[in-house]
Amino acid sequence: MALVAQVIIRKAPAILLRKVEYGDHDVVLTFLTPDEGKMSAFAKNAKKSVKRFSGVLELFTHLEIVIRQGKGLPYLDEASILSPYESIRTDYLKSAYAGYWSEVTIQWLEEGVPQKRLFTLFESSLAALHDARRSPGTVSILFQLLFLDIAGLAPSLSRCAGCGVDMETLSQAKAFFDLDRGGMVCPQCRGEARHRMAISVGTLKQLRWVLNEGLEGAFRVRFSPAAEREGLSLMERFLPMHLGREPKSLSFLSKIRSF
Amino acid sequence: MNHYPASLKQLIDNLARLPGIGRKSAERLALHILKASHREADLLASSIVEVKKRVRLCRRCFALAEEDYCPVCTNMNRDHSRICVVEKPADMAAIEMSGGYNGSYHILQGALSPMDGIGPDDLRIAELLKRVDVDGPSEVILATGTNVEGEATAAFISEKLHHQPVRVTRIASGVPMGGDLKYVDQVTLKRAMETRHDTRYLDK
Repeated sequence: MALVAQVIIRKAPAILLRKVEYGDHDVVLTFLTPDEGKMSAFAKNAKKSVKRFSGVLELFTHLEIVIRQGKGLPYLDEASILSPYESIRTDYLKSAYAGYWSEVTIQWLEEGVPQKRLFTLFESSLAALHDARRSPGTVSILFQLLFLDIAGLAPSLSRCAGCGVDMETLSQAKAFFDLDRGGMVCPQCRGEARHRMAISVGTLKQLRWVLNEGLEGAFRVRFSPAAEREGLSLMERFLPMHLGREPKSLSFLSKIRSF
Repeated sequence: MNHYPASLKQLIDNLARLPGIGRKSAERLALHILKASHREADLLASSIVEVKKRVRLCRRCFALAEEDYCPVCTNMNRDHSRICVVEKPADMAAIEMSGGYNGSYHILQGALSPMDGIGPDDLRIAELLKRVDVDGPSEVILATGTNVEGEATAAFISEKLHHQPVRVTRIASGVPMGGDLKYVDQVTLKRAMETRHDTRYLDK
């Protein structure tokens, strides 16, 4: 009996996270999809295509893709734009944030594991980033905090990460976050923290509210400029520390902030 | 591969390191060089050595040059009050081929790329800002690519030039010549509609 490799063609919503050139004409793409999580695909002749892929395969675009799965890496047969999120492309700070989220997502995910919640979070975050009324910094705090929650690494904001005492009952203007233990620490446990950050109680309450609300309500939050700076600083130290790797896009963010 | 002499094998290995050249193509090229005359082989070898020895970056615009300044920067017949900003020397060559531009250039040597960690300090952006400040051109044309990296780079430079008394423009993007509208993506088509011009312009 002749063995014929089975070819499966399937359609999926997807967000393009990464695009790597392969030779003179082809590209290897990394997508985030709800049912298969991180997925890589080969787009043959994508660089010179004027019909199939012209202007479609841009980073952070929400697409509907048609994948042909044979042996080895799947081939991208077709892609159509669902939302281009154009204003992200034309704003260097927004594209830097979206690049950072893409990088941490690629680093954290394994291929082929369903990621419905993360897909919804990514899509909602891109839509909020595209919205001119939203502050990109605030959207990035929300993405990182909810990403950590989905990853099972959410910081402990209500109880002391050292002794477990209820932090909400403590009356203090500044609280301390222990980066190693992954949460707030009470005045008694503060001394043991090697990597700690002071954070105002107001910012802490807002972060706690975001975690409690989850994806459904979190995008309604508004941070003051000072709270946004504090929240970003905390998240951009905490997330890479727990992923175990400093994303290149994070150093890019600090470069453009200081240029 | 073992049946080839060591020197030929080494040539195949070296050719196969070039972009877009696989082992089979490398083998074909190596055998072609072997069959060619001594003179042809010497010419090829010496041109590789010469290009490495002589070609450098123009001190003003960072285009490829054999002297301190490139032919465009030293050409007094060109309009030096306009600077066209591109990512790579090949982009400059493409614009020169089009024949639609007679100003000067500034080659950034890449584009901002968050995920590759390429920031403003890795490109010739500071040199461009200094050049605009010192030379005082009338226009800076941002001709970086229309992908995310190119758009982000153009937006970054545009913001940095915001307070300078210079007109900053972005090249148009739209329907390619001979293109079929149904194959054009929605972002390009939207931009083409937004930047449409009066047909009387075409009659002139």
